[in-house]
Amino acid sequence: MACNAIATANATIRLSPEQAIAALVALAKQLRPEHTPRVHAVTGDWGETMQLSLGEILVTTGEGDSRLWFWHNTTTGTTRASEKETYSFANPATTAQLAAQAANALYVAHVAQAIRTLQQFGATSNVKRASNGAITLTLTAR
Amino acid sequence: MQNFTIVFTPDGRIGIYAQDGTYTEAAETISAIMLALSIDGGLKLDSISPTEQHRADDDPQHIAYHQHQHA
Repeated sequence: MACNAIATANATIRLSPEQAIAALVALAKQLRPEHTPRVHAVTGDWGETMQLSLGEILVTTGEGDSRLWFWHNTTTGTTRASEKETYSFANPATTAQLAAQAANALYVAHVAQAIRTLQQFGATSNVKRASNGAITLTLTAR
Repeated sequence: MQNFTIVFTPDGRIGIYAQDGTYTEAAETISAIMLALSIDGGLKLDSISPTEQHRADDDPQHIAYHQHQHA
């Protein structure tokens, strides 16, 4: 049956812990190029002071007050961040900015991973990023 | 060959749309893509919606035709 139609399907995607770590480490290197990022946990249960939840990843970089902290929950896909060791997020503006940067890094990583997978079905083209951040591309299937 | 539009949103959603060819072919490919993203792509897929057809009928009254199939 020919159709001047639209076939659609939707899903919500998450990165694997390894992919999320790679994206956050790359972001940490970009923000603090003079330091080597550290990955503290991938399964949680890392002590009360860090308040890690099961499945959370913690990536840190820098030293002292300039140290950056990124927590990413691979189950929910949410990311939080802080520029201080304390959990209190003393500077909300910086915290929000860091969290936004982390979320963007993870988003770009999952799109890149998806595009690599899509290429097994054909050629991708017309990759565009809209003002709202959405990335659209065309796949011409073989 | 068939063209698909793939949309990724910053909150992690992905939408796949086919606008030409046949629904059967498009639905099969969309399902295969979703499966590949989940298995080969290492991306965890949640809440995959059924593949859905929206077809504007050729008659002047534009009666909508819908068919649902699990992806």
